Amino acid sequence: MPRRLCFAVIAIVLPFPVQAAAQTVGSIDAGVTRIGYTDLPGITAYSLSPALQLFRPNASLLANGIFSYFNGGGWTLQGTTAGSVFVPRWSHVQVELGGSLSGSVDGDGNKTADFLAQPRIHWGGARRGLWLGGGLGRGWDGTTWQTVGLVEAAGWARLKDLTMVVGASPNWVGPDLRYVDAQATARLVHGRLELGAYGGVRSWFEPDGTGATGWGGATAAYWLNRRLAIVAAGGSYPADFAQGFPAASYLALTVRIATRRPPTPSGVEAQEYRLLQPLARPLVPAFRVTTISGATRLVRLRAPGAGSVEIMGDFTDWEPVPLQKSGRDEWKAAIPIPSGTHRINLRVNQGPWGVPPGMPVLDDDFGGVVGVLVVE
Amino acid sequence: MRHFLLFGLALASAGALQAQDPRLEGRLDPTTQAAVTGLLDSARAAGLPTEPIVDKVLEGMTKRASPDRIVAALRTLSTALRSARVALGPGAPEGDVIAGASALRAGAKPETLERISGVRGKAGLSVPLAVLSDLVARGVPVDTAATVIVHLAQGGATDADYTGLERGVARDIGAGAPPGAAAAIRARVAVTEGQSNGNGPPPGIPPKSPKEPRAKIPARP
Repeated sequence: MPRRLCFAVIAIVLPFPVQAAAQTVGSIDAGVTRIGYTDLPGITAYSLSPALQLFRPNASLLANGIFSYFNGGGWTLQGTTAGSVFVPRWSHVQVELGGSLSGSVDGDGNKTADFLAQPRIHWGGARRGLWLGGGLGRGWDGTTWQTVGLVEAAGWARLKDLTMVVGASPNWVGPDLRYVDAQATARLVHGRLELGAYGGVRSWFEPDGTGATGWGGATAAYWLNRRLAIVAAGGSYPADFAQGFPAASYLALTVRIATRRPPTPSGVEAQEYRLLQPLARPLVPAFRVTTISGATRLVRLRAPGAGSVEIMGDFTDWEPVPLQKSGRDEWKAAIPIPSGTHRINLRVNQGPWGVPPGMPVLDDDFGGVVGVLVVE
Repeated sequence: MRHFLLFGLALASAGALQAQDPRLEGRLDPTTQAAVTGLLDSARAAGLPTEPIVDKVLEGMTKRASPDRIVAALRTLSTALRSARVALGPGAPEGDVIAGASALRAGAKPETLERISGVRGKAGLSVPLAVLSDLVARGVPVDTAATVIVHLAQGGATDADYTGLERGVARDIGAGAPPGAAAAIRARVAVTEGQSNGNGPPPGIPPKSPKEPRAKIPARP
């Protein structure tokens, strides 16, 4: 999970807080992100993302938030706080007591939350090390509270300006999801330029037989001066089952204004990682049917760039019904649809008949597809 | 005798008019019209609902399918309706038969329909069978979907429980969960919330030993 990846990256510096002077860095990112989902149309998000990093000899606190406004309407507000306290080290060993708290709320009132206690034991020196840890917490996906947990093992090394982390963590979410995330990150700092890359594979234990999924991406930051940087990032991230955020791919470009450039590479990694956090699901479902009165339903569709939108189904005797444009990118129509299960098709710009996003798809017997719409 | 023949002709004409749905008038070529009329007559004689057949013709015409393809689709649909009628019994409401035909076409077995019908009784089958078809269309393995639906029925689930299950599974799949796991998990929640009589193992999930810790972490392969 990306959050776990975040912890992995942060852990590069946290095992040795004594070596780093006490420092506080604040920053705010402003930019635009294009996000693609597997079964939903892509969306564009304009975001503001403040962050605060506090490093003290025996403690650290990282906090950030993301306010995203989506093209066509809707917004989300997400936040994450992660803190750690370090027990004074003994020889090459040090104990970290850490935890995190995350949550989100969107314009429709949906909320998610996730908290995790995560102790670790570190072993290593200034250039390489290992850690073992575990985590236990609860996640709220807007519908159900689930217990989440993980065990992790990772190693890291620094070679001049290059820092690498490789780790694996068995995860469980609720009583039925078991998987292992294996992931690696690499980071290179050269003058004004900072480059990062990451990749991972999720292998499933339960349900048995589920195919592995992978993700990966890269970031590049260029500091124009001590306080201003341009950050570009692209790639993919896996689903966050604790909060119910879907997997997605993304492409982002932001401007970062900071109180100062973080003096250590690792201090920057946590910030750039913000671009890798899974964004909350699209706020306005791409296709929605709500009851106006009786059997009259309001059909709404988000279709950026469309010139015309039509739907048809058994409830229209398969006569196409045009939707009317309502606001930017949204189309709607009031149509009589009785309660029950219906077959439905949709087309945009007089193109081929397809299925509204997010809807189960069936073969239509005529070489095409048809969606299944359940109306209560 | 002459009056008898006239009466017979009148009956035949009435039957033809009845077979001809007004929505189809003048929209089919004579050959296709004859085939459709024959299928409608046959369905009516077997006590099968005819609306899905008319609906399928309308869909095919709007999508500009060839007459042969339309007739082939109607034959497949008629077969499914007939099998659903057999599985659900002669007294089953038309809505249940239509939903049953969809479930069969999604891959459910007639025995599954019989089991759900036996458990649900007069509670109606259209919603659970529609949800069954929906789950399969979302990628839930048909055996898992059938197990979930039957298990919920055994637990006394209401129509609202089924639609809630469908919404939850859709959401989980949208979040990236494997379809089979999503269905099993949501069914487990529905059963837990909807009953407290502990009806055996959770649906779609093999029973676990009570001694096995719930949060046991699997060893790495």
